[in-house]
Amino acid sequence: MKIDDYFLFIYKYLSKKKLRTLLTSIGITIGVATIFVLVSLSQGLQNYISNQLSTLGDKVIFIYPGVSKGFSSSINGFISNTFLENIQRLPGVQIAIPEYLISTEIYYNNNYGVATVYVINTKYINYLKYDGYQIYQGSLINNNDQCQVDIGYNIYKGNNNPNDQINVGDYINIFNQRCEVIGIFQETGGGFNNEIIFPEGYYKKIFGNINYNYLMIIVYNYNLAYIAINDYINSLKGQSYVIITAKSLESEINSIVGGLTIFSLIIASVSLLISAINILNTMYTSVLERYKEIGLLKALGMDNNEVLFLFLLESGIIGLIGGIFGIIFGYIMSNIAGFIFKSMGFTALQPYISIQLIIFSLLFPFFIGILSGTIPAIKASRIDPMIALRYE
Amino acid sequence: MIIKLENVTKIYKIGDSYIKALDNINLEVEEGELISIMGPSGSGKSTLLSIIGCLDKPTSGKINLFGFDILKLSDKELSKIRKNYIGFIFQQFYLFNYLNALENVELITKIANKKNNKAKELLEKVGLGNRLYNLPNQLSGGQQQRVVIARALANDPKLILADEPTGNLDEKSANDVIDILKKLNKEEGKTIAIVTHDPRIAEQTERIVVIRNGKILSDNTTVDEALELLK
Ligand SMILES: Nc1ncnc2c1ncn2[C@@H]1O[C@H](COP(=O)(O)OP(=O)(O)OP(=O)(O)O)[C@@H](O)[C@H]1O
Ligand SMILES: [Mg+2]
Repeated sequence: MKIDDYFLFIYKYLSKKKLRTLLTSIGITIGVATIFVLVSLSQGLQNYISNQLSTLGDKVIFIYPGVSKGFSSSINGFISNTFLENIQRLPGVQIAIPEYLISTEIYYNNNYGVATVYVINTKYINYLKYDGYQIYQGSLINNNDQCQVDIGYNIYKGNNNPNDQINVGDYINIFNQRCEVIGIFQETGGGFNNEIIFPEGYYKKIFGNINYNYLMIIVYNYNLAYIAINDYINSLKGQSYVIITAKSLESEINSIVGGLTIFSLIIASVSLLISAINILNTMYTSVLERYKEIGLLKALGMDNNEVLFLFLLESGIIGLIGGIFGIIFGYIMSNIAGFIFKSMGFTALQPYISIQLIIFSLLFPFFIGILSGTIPAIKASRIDPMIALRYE
Repeated sequence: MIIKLENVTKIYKIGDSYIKALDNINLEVEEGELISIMGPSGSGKSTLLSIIGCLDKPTSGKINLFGFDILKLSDKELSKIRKNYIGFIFQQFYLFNYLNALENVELITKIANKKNNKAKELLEKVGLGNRLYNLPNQLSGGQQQRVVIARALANDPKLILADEPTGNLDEKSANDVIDILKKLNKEEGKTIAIVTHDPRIAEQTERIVVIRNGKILSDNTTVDEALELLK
């Protein structure tokens, strides 16, 4: 038989057995839909983060004292003047900007929250754009000695409660001081929306002095600067430092997202394994039910290999049908999930559906179908054509 | 010579016991003959037909069909012989119940990878020109059997083997079927072998072969002699 004749024959049979076919392939549908949702969302997240990070580009390197423990490194120690000056002198470095980074409580409109505060001298304020900051409303702080701040998008939104929204010109309470909000940053990905930029001069007025713990380094030659900084830091004894670049962040995030993807694939594979057993069972039943029919096909001139092929193809197609429905449901669900995440404020969690994902969602179930149909198909191919002549 | 069986014996083994379904059969059939095979139940008629139809192999003996030494052929070659040279008609109608009449007939051409598709023509010939798109369960027994005949003819076989083709039919339908087979024999020169219990059918064939206990009791008898032998 020609290949399209096989398809037609299988189509005729399966459309007679619609319900059974659908029930058999439902496991595949669920498995594929799960894979589809998880993979499309994590790919979407990955893309979003890479886009965000690419705004950092090759222009900025951050250093802070501490020890990197995977993703959960924290600041531990301070940046000395000597360290700052030495970094400043390294080749490829344009300017090293010291900052003080602290997590603190803020109060506004009878509400309270926690923000990450970057204390920075306003003379460096224009370099913030290299860190991906863009003003959404108002302006960047400009007076080093006044109590004024720029706030991140989430703080502006007051955690999505319209009554708590903080506008330009409003006051918030931070370090027990009433400070005017003069700018709001645009929303960014990767959880950078809870920040406050605070003027260094005013901070010194309150606390007397400042201990820098974070260095934003603007470079004009990334590779040169990166190697020099790395060498310098490795040559130091005692205090250790963590270097962060867009590239290092990206690979770290990619490995986490990749881990998530693998995890979701493992979960989905288990469900696909169960559905493979389901297909095996259905094909086995089908071969038993169609014993005489198969005998007839052989009496009419089909050889063993053709019968084998017919049944392998049939079980592959059952898998494929599950895959197609899985793609449809997965597509709908990932878009619903994306919509829900968006309305909850997680703009980073939007599905990204790649052509590879679609091809995988078709081919994988097809091969699972073929694999689970192998034993029944071999059994079918060995049926004696004599069967066609005998009746029970 | 289209069929030549020499000393064909078929022994079935069930558990520890053996059944001699065919016992030293010698049979020759010329191209264009219309023969009937009669015998009591269990006498080996279906076994004989299945061996002629290359569905089964004898325990011993020699078989020559269409000039091929059948026992020297592989399974794959045997399936080629089946699809290109032989048309089968069974007692049960054996249609694919999810294919309509036309598709059931076309399936055979497709299995044989043949291009000339005369399925429609054949169904018209057996009087089903207006039932092409009916599923088998929308056809009467006689109509279904006529679809089977059309199917048996689809690849233009030299030989048609019919195992009690009228066994499940009423008299009228049975006559229609026999008339079609006779016509095929007369007008197209098909070689046809019909297994039957029914003397009225045997009567209409040129040659009657009687078998009992796996042996040919008599070849080329009259119906009356055959009935006498089978008493
Ligand atoms: N596959 C088989 N295994 C074992 N014994 C078999 C098998 N096929 C047929 N037999 C035996 O061989 C003998 C001949 O059977 P066969 O079917 O050829 O008879 P038949 O003449 O066609 O009978 P009927 O008129 O009832 O169809 C019987 O005794 C039967 O039980
Ligand atoms: Mg029989």
